Amino acid sequence: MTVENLFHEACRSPLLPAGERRCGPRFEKEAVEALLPHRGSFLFVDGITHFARTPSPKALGDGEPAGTIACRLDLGRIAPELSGHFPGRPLWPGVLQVEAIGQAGLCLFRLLERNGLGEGEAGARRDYVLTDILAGRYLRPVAPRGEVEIVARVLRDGLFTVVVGQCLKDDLVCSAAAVRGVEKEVQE
Amino acid sequence: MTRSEIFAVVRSNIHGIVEETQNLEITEEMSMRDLGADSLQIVEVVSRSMKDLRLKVPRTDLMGAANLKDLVDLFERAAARPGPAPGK
Repeated sequence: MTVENLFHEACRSPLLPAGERRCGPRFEKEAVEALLPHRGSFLFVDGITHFARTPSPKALGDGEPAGTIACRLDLGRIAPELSGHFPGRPLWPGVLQVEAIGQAGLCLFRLLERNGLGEGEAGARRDYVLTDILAGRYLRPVAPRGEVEIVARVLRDGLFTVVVGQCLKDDLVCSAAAVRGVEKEVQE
Repeated sequence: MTRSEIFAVVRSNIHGIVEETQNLEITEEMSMRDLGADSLQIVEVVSRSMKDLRLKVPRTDLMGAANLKDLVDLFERAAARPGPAPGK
């Protein structure tokens, strides 16, 4: 499956049915904060409601999704930060939805690494640096109240890792994006 | 795959990715930094070359390559290793 195909699929309909998105394993906020460096109103994952690696791959293989994640975000928590976008009619900015998809992808990437699907040296601490937004589409405005779900898949593309994902509200696709990044060793 | 074929793929990707190199004569003694590539362009050239050549070289090995000769050496060694058939 190509990134382009997966992105178009993400624009059309939920990548996972609602039942699968919430069937666990679940990770609450404390576990999410162990996966992501983001905090406060820039943490766009409040919990993970589903994580599954693709059954067959032994490593992140080129061109095939290595796993899928579903996350939830309480928009009410970040709503105060969005009051100026726009006064009287607040909306969750599309670029922040792309960021949320990237954060969900990073959670998935780290969970896959824990499950032995990464390539790096054991014990090496690595950062993941976003390098490109390959594609993005905003399909529905999102008012900052209630919960949204973020579904993401990761694929290997040479030295890059690609995240393709979508934001869902009430089971409808509000946005989809494909972003790309590289791992970076952290000098201790 | 011969060494000159590997170098031709790397050179072609440099020409395609790093601006203002199209008319430059690129030799193995050069580094991509010498050619004006930024860090992301270097990753892009290496990544695309590995895909084109259907090779995998660990990132930690790639970090030790100081110039194009070192990179081609790594690719040549990876090409000589027995591994899965192309496309697997």
